[in-house]
Amino acid sequence: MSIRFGILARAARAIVGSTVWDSEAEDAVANLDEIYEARRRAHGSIAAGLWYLGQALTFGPRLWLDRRGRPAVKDTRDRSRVATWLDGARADARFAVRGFRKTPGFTGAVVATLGLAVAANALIFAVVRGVVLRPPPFPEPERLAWVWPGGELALTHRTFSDVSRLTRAAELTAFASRAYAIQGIDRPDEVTGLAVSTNHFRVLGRPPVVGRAFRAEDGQPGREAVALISFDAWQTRFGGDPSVIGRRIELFTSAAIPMLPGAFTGTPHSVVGVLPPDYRPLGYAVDVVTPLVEDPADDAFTQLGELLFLGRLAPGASFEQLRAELVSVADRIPQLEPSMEAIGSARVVAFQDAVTGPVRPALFVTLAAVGLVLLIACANVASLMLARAQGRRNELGLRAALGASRGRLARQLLTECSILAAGAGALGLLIAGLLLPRLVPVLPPALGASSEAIALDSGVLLFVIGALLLTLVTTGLIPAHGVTGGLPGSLGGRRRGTGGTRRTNRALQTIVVSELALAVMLATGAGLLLKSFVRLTDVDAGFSPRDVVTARIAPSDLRYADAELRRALVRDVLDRVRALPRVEAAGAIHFLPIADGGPGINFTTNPADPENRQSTGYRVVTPGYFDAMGIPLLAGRPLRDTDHQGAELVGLVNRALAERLWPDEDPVGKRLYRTSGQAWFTVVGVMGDVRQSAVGLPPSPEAYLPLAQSEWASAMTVVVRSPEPAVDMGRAVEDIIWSVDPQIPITRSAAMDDLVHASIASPRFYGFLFSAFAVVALVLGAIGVYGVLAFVVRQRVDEIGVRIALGATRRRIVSRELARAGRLVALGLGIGLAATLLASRTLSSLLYEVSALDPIVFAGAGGVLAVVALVSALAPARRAAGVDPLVSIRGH
Amino acid sequence: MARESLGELEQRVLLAMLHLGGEAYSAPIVLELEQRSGRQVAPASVYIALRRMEKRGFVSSVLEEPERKIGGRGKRVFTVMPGAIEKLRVARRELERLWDGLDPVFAA
Repeated sequence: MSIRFGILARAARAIVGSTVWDSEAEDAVANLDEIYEARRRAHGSIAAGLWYLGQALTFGPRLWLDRRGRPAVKDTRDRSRVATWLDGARADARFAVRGFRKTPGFTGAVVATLGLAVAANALIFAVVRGVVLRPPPFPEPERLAWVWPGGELALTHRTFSDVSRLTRAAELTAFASRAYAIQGIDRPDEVTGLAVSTNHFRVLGRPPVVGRAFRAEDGQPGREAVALISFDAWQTRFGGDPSVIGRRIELFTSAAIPMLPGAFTGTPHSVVGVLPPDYRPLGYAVDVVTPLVEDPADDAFTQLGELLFLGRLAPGASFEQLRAELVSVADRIPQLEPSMEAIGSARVVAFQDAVTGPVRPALFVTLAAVGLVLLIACANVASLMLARAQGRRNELGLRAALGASRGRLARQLLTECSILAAGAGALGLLIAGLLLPRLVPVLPPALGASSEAIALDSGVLLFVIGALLLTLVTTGLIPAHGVTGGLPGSLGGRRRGTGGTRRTNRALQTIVVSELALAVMLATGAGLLLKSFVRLTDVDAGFSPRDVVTARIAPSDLRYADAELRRALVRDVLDRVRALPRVEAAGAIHFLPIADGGPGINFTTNPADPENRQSTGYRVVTPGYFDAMGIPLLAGRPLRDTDHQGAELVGLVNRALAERLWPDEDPVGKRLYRTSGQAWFTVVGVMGDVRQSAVGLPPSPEAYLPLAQSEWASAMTVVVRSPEPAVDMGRAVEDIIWSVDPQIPITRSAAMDDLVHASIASPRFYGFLFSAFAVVALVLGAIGVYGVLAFVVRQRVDEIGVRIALGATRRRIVSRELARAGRLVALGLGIGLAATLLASRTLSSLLYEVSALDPIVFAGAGGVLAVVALVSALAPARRAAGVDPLVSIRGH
Repeated sequence: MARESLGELEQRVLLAMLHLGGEAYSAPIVLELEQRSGRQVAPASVYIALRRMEKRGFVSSVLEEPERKIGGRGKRVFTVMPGAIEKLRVARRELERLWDGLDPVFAA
């Protein structure tokens, strides 16, 4: 019988042969071969080969484990090759540890350097993995797609129902994000919510963990209002009690969908289920989910503009097919609604790409940067190892003379590195484990990071092991090569000449140059990000956030059904706030700059001309708002209390809108026609531009309308300027609001400064992270330069002694050594800056008004690095000048 | 003798060996067990069971001459000892006593 072995089986046989005791290996292989052959006939050679490989990997260890506890086999002939090798390794390890004990400074420096770098890498990788690399917690996520209606036109819920009925390539589901306020234990809290089509959970493929998903009838008008609550809310608010099903919660909708009278639907909802703990379809945690109700009487049904669409591809369908089908569906439906154009030009994007796409570049750049830190640490450790190995030439030479092969000596050095790397890995993981709980809360909110997703799990462990293997290759093999190559001559005498160390010197210099190059890359990156961050903090947003506190209130429409009641509520609150001591100004606005998005209105200067229709951002405000925010009045008059219902309709424009509409005229007194309200209003003043949506985005045209003349009937943010500490003032404002009505939810209460601060959390985070990396790189680079030069000087003590004896001045010696360092520094900086020029474009998406090639930053980073490197070269250079010629010559 | 009774795997290995005529090397035992149980059996566990039983005297073994061809390998052939058959009988009786009178429970 002759057996045909595939490559898997051959590998398996080799493994068995080398892991099983020699006396048993033959029998084991013979028997496994036979079973393999039976399997090959039954299941084919690949399945059988895989089986063989699996058995081979466990066979030896299982036998060995079974044998443990019995007296060790003494006969060395009866040892497997692996066992013999392990014995050698154990001896190497013992020897290495003895060596490390004798040089605690060296050992500590290596383990600490590498350990810190490993910790930084493990942390950043854990974040990248948790945010970007982890598949979404839905079955078959690769079949989930986002559908973005194209063009300016939004898709309504009603149109969506038609489209989804006709679409075969995917089951589509719609949802809209909503901000809700929920009646809390002692006061109302703001929560994030979603309104979803009733097939939402079927499409995502994750049912609620308790209770039921929505049924089709939950989306019918006139049914009892139902809601699902998040796992977190279930645990924190209801103590994880399963009897929460059927409980009623008070949900107040606040202004997620502006300017739609029907969007305000505060009502009691029955809890029908609890969401899975990792339910984050939009990348952030959601507290409450309600069904989208198909009520034709509800304007939200026909006008909803904020719908998002998700689809699960039918088996065999592709994203491209779905897109093509949407186009054809749009063509097939009679053009009753213009929004069909939107679905016809829809974009289809893979689910995961859409959720993590925007944060991916920043995270990968960060991962690359922290990788550079690791490389620098590797370089440093390599130079330390090299210098140490050089100092042990005599020991290694002796061992070679006694018969150790070069491979054996290289193995000794590699063993030492492995032990150091393992120590560093353990230290790094320990540090990372301690820091991780502190890191997650300070991550920028844009990452949507959750503490359960970011953990030091097996993936991170694998990454760390990979990183350590890299350090092993760089730090272990290079010195091994450098030293063992120069062995044969090393026994000849002690410290003779300089030629024997030339190879080591060259290796060390290469290391220092690459270290400096890497450090300059990091320093430049940090410089660019910091400059960008400083630019952002210096931006004049058009208002002055200092000494301003804000509180957003969302009155329930059950109790404030009448718009006049709501206006009275705001008026009442503002009157009482203004009566507080040390309040300089107080007002209210419906969409607070920076913190809230921005709604738009359509208007025209000539209702007869359909071409004239334009749109602009707008804000509903009360008198006093501009004073409270410190927004200057440029022309005309501010809003007054007399601009109320019944009086002439008035409004303000910002400078950008004024310049767009009337570039050469005085805007005051001009009239605009609101197409939705079907009314003219008169521009009475021009306000300074405000960066409404983000500090980094330029102001856009806006109009301001008085609350007293507006139909706006939802959340308002009270804005108060006072020199009192923000905490005290904020509490005082909250107290006043609740004294007017103890049941009003305050959905946000924050100092304006904090809101602005939070809005630039991402640039700040990346800027400081890179700076930390750069500082580490700088320190490591400086240590590297110092170490290498000190080593070179030590090697050249004889030469320097002769030079001094022959009359070289100390000054000359110092300048000679500095010039040597200078050459290395110049080379490193040159390479680093060139590499940065090529790589810095990857940073440009993170930069605000700073060029990725900013010459000042480049020059600054290079200059700082050069100075630090040369300063660290100074000490060894001076030591060179301090060489006593008598001592060094007498050494011979 | 370390232990008096046989472990479950040991019993199964012995029974498979008896099916094979009381004398076998490990590969046919593995295949026999797999065929009769319908489950995969790890050769290493059979191997270990045989080794342990040999130490306790339940089986004995001889190293067979390698096959007379290139690459032929010697296999260890195990034989069931009379003591093991006695142990199997005891084990079976124990189990049967436990099953006695439980038929109504399993009838449905």
